[in-house]
Amino acid sequence: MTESIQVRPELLRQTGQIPCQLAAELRGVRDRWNTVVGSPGDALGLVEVATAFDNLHDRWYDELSVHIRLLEELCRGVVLSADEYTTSDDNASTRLGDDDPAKKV
Amino acid sequence: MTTTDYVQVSTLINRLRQVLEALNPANAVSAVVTVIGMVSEPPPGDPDRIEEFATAFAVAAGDVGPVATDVQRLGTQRLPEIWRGVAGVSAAELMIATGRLVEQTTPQFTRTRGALEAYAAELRTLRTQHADLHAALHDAWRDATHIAGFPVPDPTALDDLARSLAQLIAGCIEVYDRYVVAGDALAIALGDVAGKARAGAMADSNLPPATIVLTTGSGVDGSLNGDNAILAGAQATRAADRYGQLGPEDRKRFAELLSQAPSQAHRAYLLKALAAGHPIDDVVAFGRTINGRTESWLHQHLSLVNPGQTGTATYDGKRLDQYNGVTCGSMTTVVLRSMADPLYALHLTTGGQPDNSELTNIEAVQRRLEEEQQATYERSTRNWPPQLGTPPWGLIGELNSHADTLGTEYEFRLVDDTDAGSVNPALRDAVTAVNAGHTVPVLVGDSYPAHYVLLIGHEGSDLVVYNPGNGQVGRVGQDDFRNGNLGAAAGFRHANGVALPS
Repeated sequence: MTESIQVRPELLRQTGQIPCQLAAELRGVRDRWNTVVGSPGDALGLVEVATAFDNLHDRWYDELSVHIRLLEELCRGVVLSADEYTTSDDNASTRLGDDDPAKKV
Repeated sequence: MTTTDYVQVSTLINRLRQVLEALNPANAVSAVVTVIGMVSEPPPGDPDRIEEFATAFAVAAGDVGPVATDVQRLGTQRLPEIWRGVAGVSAAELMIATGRLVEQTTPQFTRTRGALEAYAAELRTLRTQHADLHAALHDAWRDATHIAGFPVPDPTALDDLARSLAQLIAGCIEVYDRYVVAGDALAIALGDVAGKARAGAMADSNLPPATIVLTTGSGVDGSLNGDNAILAGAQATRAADRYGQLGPEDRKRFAELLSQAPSQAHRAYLLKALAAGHPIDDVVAFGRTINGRTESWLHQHLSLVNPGQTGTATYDGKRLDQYNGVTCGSMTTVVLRSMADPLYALHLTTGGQPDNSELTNIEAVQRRLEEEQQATYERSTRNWPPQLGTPPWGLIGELNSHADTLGTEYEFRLVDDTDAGSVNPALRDAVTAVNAGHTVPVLVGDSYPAHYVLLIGHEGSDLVVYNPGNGQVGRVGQDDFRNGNLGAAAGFRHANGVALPS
C-alpha cells in the first residue's frame, strides 16, 4: 500500500536538478565517445564489419539519447511537481486564510 | 585484388588455392607473378584507429558507471526520502529503471572494447605477416628470374621456387582465412552488443521515453538475462513503428492501456502485441485480459520458451516438445510464432478463455499444442510424402504466411559445415538475426538432414538452441556450429541449413 503523501517541495526542487546534471554528464560522455567512433571510415576493413560497427554505434547513440531525454524529462517533471506542491500549498493556505471568518471582518 | 568484403576475400582465397593446386616448376615463374598481383593489397583495416575506438569505448564505459549509480541512488534513496506518495513512487520507479538501463552500457561497452582490441591485434599481426610474405614472394621471383643481378631466368632455381612458392601461397591463404575469422568474430560480437541497446531500438518513435524505458527492461522471467527480453530488438522497433502509425483515437486508447498496466512486464507484452500487427481492438481486449494478472501468470502463459534459461522447457510441469516423430519443423514453427506473438501464445495456453479451467488445464494445453503442430504440419507438407517431415520450402512457406506477425519473411539457405565459405556466413547471418530479436530455424542432421531446432538466443560465444525433439533449451558454442559438433544441443551434429529473415 502506498504511503500518504509527504513532500518537501524545496528539497524536491533541489533534487530535481540532479537528473538534469546527470543528463548533461551523460550527454558529455556520449558526445566525447561519438567524436571518436562516429565516423570510422574504412578503418575497420571489411564492409560487413564496418556495417556491424555502424549499426552498433547508431543503436547505442540512440540508446544513450533516450536515457538523456528521460533524465531531462524527469528533471522537468520533478521540479514542476515541486512548484505545484508549493503553489497548491500556498493556494490552500490562502484559501484557508480567505475562509477564515476572522479575516472577513 | 580488392579485399574489402567477404565475397572478395573468399574469391581471393579460392583463387590462391587453385594456383597452389596447379603449381609446378614449369609454371612457377608465371605463378609467382600472378600471386604477387593477387596479394598486392594487405588485409584492409587500420589497427591504430581501431585501438582508438576501443579506448573510446573503454573511457565511455568508465564514465557511464558513476552516472548510472547516481541515477539509481536518486530513485532508491533521495527521492523516497523527500517525496512519498503515488507520484513520488512512480518517479522513483522510473529513476531506478533508467539507472538500470544506463548501467547496462558499461558491460556492453567493455565487451566492445575487448572485441575491438582482439581484432586490432590480429589485424596488426596479419598485416605484418602479409608484408613479410609479399616481400618473400618478390624475392623468390627475383631469384628465379635474375642471375647475378641481371634479368636472366635461372632454370636451376625453378624447383626451389616452386617449393618456396607453395609455402608462401599457403601462408597467404592462412592470412586471409584468419582475417575472415577475425572479421566474423568481431561482426558477431558487435551485433550482439547492438542488440542489447533495447531502448535505442525505439528511439525514433513517438513513444514517450518513460514508456520506452519501462518496457525495455523486462525479461520473460522478471529481470533481463541474456536474450530473454520480452520485447526483443526488432519487436521493439516494430512496436514503435506501429504505434506511430496509429490514428489519434487509437493512440489515445493504447496510451490509456499502457497507463493502466500494473507493471513493466504488462507494458512490454502490450507493445509486443502491437508489434505482432494485431488490430487495436484485439490489443485492447488482450490488455483487459492480462492487466488483472500477475507477472508470473504472464510469463507462464505468454512466453512458452525462455532463452535466458537452459534446461527443459515446460508448461505446468509437462515438457514442451514435438508430439510425434515428424513434427519437429511444426513445433519449431509453433514456438517461433509464440515467441513473436503473445496473443498466439495466449491462445495456445488458454484457448482464449483464461478463466475457463477446462481450457487451461495441462491436458487441454497439450491437446491444443498437438492440434497446432498437426495443422502446421499439414499446411507445410502439401504435395510431399507426409512420413518425411517438413521440407525446407514448406517451413519457409508456413513462416512467410505469418510474415505480418513475425515482422519479416524468411528464406532458406543450405549450409555445408565442411566449407568455411558456406558455414561462416550462415553462422554470422543467423547470429545477426538472433541479436536483432528474431529466432532462426536450423535444419540439422548427421549423414542427411533430419531434424529442425530453433536458435533463440546468443550470449558471448554461445548459441541458445531450443530442441523440439526433447524440449530442451541448451547452449552450444559458435565453433561447434562451424565444426559439426551440434549434437549436445540439437541431437544431430551438422547444420545443413538455416531459415534466415530476409
